[in-house]
Amino acid sequence: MERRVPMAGATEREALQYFLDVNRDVMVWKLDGLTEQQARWSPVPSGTSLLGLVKHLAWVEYGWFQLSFDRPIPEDETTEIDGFGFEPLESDTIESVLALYAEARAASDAAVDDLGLDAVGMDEDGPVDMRWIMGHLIEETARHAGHADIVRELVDGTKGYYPPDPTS
Amino acid sequence: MGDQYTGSEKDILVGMLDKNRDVMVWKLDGLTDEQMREAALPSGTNLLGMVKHLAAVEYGWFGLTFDIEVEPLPFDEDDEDADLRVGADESTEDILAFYARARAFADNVISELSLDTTGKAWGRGPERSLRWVIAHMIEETARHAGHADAVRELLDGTTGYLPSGD
Repeated sequence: MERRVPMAGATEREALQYFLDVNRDVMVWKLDGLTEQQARWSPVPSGTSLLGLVKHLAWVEYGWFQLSFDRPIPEDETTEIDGFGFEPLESDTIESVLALYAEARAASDAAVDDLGLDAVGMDEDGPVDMRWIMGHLIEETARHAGHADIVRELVDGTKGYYPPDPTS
Repeated sequence: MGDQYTGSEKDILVGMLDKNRDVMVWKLDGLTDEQMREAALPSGTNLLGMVKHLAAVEYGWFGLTFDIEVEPLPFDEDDEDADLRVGADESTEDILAFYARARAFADNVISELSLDTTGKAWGRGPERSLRWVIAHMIEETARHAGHADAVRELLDGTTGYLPSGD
């Protein structure tokens, strides 16, 4: 995970990309070292699990970065399920969900590369700027990282804010 | 949604930060003082402590970084969790007022400086731009909003994404 961003002189895209990437990496890290059973466990009545959180975020990325701009998303029966991917299917595994997430984030980055931060997409409430979408994915990924912090701490006591940076 | 979907870079960043600050305050709404201070997890995480921490951090990032005078902050060089703990002598009203002052302070700094303005992080660290600081405050507030979601649900079952009901 390269983190060599000129923090002081970061452009708008660099700053947004940095914070989005670090939070995406946190989500992946919060699954690291777990069994399939642990990844599906939930401490709360609403059923939130680490696997469900990552799967949800993959579909959130597809929804905002692709559907807002009429770009294609993968065919998958889970897009019809209430809760937008929170409930993992029987067939989901940590590996399959991480692969989905990796594809989704790459597609998001490509959308920003292709269209730019000034691009205006449409959602059900009206026009939405690409820069808003990037910011929104930062806040939403970070919020779910907060959920993941709690769930992971309750699963096996592991805590931590950011994954170790291999470049440091 | 409480923020705007279109606009300038600064408008969008400020709107998003404000929305997450509002969520933090909303997650305490309706709880007793005791519940707000209740440690929901082995690590001692509690809602009022999170608010105190976020207030102190807003002052640190927006004040200390850009060399602007701040009120006394609850940090302790020898105790890294000092700003996360709320003592019996600190009223809930005091903590919420602290957060309100911190937000207003930060908003003022943001309105006065350009996004490219830089300063030493917290007055002593590496150079950071205002753009970077706001984006970081958004992720940090949102992350704690995530903690608050979980703590609140464990306390009394209340869930919810935004105060506006979205």
